[in-house]
Amino acid sequence: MTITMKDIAEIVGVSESTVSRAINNKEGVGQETRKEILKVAKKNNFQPNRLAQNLAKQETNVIGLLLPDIASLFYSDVARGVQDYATSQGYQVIVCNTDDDKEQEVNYMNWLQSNKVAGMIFLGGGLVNNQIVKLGLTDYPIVLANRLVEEVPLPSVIIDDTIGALKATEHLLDKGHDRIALLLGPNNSWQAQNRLQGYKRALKNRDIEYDQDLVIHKSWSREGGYQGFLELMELEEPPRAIFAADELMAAGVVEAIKLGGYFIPQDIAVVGFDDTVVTSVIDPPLTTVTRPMYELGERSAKKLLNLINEEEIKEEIEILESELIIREST
Amino acid sequence: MAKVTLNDITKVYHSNEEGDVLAVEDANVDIKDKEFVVLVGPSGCGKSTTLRMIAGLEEITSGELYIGDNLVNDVAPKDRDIAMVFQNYALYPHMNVYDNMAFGLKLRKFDPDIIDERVTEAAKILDIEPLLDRKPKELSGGQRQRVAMGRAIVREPKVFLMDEPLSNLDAKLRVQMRAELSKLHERLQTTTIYVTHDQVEAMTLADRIVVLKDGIVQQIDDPISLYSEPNNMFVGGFIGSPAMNFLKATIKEKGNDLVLVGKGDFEVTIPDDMAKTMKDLQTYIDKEVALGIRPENILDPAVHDDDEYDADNLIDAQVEVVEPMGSEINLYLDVGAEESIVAVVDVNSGAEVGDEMEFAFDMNKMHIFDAETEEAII
Ligand SMILES: Nc1ncnc2c1ncn2[C@@H]1O[C@H](COP(=O)(O)OP(=O)(O)OP(=O)(O)O)[C@@H](O)[C@H]1O
Ligand SMILES: [Mg+2]
Repeated sequence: MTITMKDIAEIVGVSESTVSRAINNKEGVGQETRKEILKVAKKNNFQPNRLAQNLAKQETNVIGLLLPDIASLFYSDVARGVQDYATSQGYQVIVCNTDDDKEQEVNYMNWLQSNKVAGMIFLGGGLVNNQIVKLGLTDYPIVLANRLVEEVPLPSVIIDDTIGALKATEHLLDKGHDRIALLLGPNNSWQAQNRLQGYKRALKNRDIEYDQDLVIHKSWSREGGYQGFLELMELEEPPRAIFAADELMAAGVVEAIKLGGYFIPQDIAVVGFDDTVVTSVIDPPLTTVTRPMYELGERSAKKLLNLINEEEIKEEIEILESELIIREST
Repeated sequence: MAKVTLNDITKVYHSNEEGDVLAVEDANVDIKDKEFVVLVGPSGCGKSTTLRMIAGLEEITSGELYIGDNLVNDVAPKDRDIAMVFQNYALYPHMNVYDNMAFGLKLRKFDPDIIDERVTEAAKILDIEPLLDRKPKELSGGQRQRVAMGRAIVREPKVFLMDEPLSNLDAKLRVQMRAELSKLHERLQTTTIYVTHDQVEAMTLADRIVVLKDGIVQQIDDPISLYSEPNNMFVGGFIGSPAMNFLKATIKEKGNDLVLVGKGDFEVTIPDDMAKTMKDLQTYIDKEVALGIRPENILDPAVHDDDEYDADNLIDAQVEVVEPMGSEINLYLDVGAEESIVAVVDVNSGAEVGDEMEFAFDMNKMHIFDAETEEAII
């Protein structure tokens, strides 16, 4: 004999609509209650009518990708990864540029949902807004790609920046440098703090004292790199190794070093951050940290499709590590 | 810090398949500054919905919500100065405890010195200072919960909103964390609104409890008043464990006394002063009411001194089940009513299954409810 939603409602002592919400993975059922309902359903071999369900859902084979700006090199690589994976699985991707504007993002979210998009990936852009928290509290499939949330755990794929900075610093230490300068963007920026952390950890691992004079905060720009180098040269004992933790800053540093008549890496070794079209034109070829952007996209899409197809996901929060590519500047 | 005021708050969910769901109806709650208020009630009664309206995660259908003196119905969640703690919390596996507490502030571009100050202070309060360098996988469940609390604390919100934050922990840890939450509130004095369906949790944590049922506030009171003076049968039955017993009975005049007469040869006398002060009781003479008596107010004369019970109010019962609970025993008794009633007695009561015994109702602690409206008769 098959059990009905009504039977389950009676057993658990809730309303039929609560049972329906729980079984259809919809919001508005407390976790404990949901667990209880699903337990009873499973125990009694409850068979929801899948076909009816899918018809009711009327979802499309489309996913949404919301990101600040596709023109950024970082985001375009990630988008490529999302698209390649999604397409291989028969899904289309709608890309929405939010310009880091919350209102615009919420408008896109509403629009995507009203168009029955099967799920959404939120890429980059700092902390999630509460609209996303709210969506995350329902069981609508979403994945956060390099975006953080404070209140609830949401399925996420995140690149650990600190690891890249750690590897870059360790590499310079391995090359025999013990006074390594670090060029960063503004002190209160999230990226700057992460990269500083990786740098500090590498020093600590080798028992090398952290010297604040060697850490320079400028703007995330070529000019910032240039000015940072000039500042370092004013130190009593200028460093002979520089970790410029940004692609544009690395370009600026290299330019300044060469204009000063020094040789890379003989006089000064340089490690950059990110491997894009910007770093690819630097001469000598730059040793640099590379973040797995394409992989970030691919993994995020994979996670989302798993959620859409209600397959178990292995880890709710997946961490990807950045790598170091060693070329000729060190 | 701030008070929180709900004026006639109503929430209707519009849903295609189920029509309109009235999740919360005309809720009026005045939460004082620094108060710890617990919303409690059975599943689906609207606790989370209420909390989420306060958080700004759910739109308010009608009514006014104030945080402090500000009407916040249309204020964005991030500007409401609240911090939420849910039963599941996102601890990032690649960040140590410090960063898991700090990242929100970092992303909001707080000054690093201020971040450091707040994280250190929160860690001290939560007693997790030695763990700051650890990764989440090196922490116990309780420690992780504390880190999640820490993340809310460093935001220095005006109000904490917590939705069953302990329900993922095992029973023992839950009890421990409960005590810690109390201490934490004593120390921080931040207004806290806490949701649980566990009445024990509500009773131990709350300054005041809001009992909800079917989206309607049943009673708002401090734990002791709620326990001793329930407004209605629902509250009487919901608060307290094992639950209050209800027996159908008719109020009769007997000489100068009022008595409650029930099925079987069940008859108890309503104490004089109670009969007098409850003058409404007169209007119930010869009518059916519900007698409410808590299991701990049913006494086994064998383990009490003569002056501890009223020998005139003994009832006959047969013991159906004996459930040892440690220092006490739960007895399920057949008193001739439709359902058996529960008594909690001392282990030294020699009661055994099948025994015919007499029990005393502690009549001063009894409740009488209108059988139809289920409201307490006062
Ligand atoms: N998004 C929604 N759409 C429609 N109905 C909803 C929605 N969210 C909640 N409900 C309904 O509103 C009522 C109150 O739900 P709520 O989540 O507030 O209950 P709760 O008291 O928190 O229960 P629990 O103890 O199970 O967590 C329930 O009947 C529920 O089914
Ligand atoms: Mg709930």
